Amino acid sequence: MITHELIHRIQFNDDESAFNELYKHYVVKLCQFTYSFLDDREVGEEIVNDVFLKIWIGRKKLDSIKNLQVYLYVAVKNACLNHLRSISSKRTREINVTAAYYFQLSVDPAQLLISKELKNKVLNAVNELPPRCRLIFKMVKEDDLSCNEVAAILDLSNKTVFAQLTIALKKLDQALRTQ
Amino acid sequence: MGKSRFIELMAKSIGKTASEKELEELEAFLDRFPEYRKMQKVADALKSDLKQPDSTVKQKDLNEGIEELWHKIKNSGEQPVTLEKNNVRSLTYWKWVAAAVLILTISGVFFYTRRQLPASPLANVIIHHVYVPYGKTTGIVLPDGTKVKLNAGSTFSYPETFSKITREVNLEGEGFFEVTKNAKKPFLVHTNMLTVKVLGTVFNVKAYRNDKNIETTLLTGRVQVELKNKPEKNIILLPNEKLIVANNLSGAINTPLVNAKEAKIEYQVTALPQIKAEDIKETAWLDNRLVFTNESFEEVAKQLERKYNVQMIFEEPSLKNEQISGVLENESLEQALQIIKMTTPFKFRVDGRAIYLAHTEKAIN
Repeated sequence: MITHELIHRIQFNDDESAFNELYKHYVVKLCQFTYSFLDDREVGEEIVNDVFLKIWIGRKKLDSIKNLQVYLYVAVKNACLNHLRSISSKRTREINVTAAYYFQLSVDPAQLLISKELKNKVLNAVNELPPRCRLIFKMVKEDDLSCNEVAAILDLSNKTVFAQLTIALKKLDQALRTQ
Repeated sequence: MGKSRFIELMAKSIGKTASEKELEELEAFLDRFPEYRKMQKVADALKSDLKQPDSTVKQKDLNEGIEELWHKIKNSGEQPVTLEKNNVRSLTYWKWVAAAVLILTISGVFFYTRRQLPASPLANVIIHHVYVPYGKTTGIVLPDGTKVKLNAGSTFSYPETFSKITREVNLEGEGFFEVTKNAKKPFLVHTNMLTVKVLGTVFNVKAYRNDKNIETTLLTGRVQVELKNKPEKNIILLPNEKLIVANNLSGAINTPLVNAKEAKIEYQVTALPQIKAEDIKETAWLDNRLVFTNESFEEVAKQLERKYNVQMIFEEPSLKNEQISGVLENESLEQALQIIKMTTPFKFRVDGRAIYLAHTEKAIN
């Protein structure tokens, strides 16, 4: 993975271009991730920037982080929760996932050999999944995270993540079968 | 094998927790029951689509984000490298440069020899991004031998290997180019307002996002400039000519000084005065000098901000329009401000990285 080399360059050579590369690789994914908890885009972007700022300042100890990808997600999540706590002092919050993601088919339905009608059915089924299930499905599919990594980030057990993923796939299968 | 086993295997494969054996099992299953392939394909094709429309962040926004982040980092008062360390660092830095040049030469030779064959088109080109923080300048050598010097606060990107027909790079900020001659491959510099096209020359491009004007100055050879908003109009520059284009992206309209007639001029070509090469102000930054001739204090402040990595804040806007001329060389920021003070009375107050500028008491009374 490229990040190992990047981490090394950042830590030992103070390589700013390596840091830029790291930033470019993760910033979009992390910003999207904040939308799962926050409604405020700008706050989300600020949180992500702050996390990167801390990474640069603490770069001399970067190698003590075992999995930088997971670390970034966890840091962003915690910052989001702190922010939520700070704006609503009364409610003790757990992760309250917002319905930030909706799924679309990235290719033409004709290429998948399904009809428009079936396509709509599939999308409805997936988009009606509970938000947390949708988030897990998205993180595993698009953010290139494994079940175990998602579990670590969201503070869930591996089994829960796996079960949620299974639910999503079952819904998909059902939708495809009802012709 | 039942359907539930299939879904379990699918989940494992998507979640990257499947063993080799399980992946084989999944493949075997899909071969036996092709109707399940459809589901696999649909699952693959599902993509999340954010509620907000502009989920795809553009390259430009990314660069802006990085710039903002670096600004924040510099302002956080982080001073990790002491002077001593700096020397060590520059040594290792040169080692890296030497290594990079070596690698570039080797890969250059490699690609050149490869090109003789009916070369397979390079599948994906690696783009290098260079960001120069405030207070610094940097020099790079591109794969074709072209030398580029970048001024503080610039962002520059170039591909690791140029395409067969052109050499294209992107610049936001200021750069001094010494382009290696290659008549078959024009060299193109893209900025947000214009594109400079050359075959092999020496020229300077100044295109900061927050400056009023974008400038291109030609020293030798010939360049052709294409304005982004008027692609049909090509402007040819001859040596010692300078092209100035109003940077309307930063909202030039809200500068009250520019009268209506002047504002309509979208670009103008001027000849540089006949002076010694080292006195040309457009390229003075290469020697770490700043040269001003009747420039507004506002423009001067912007250049000082870049050179000294500070923020200049005008407490009284009228000060912005003071005209300043002079040459600054290796002075410290404090000395530089003292020099400007000699001709233009003002007072300043330093607060960390911020400099506050105001009229002297006398001027107010």
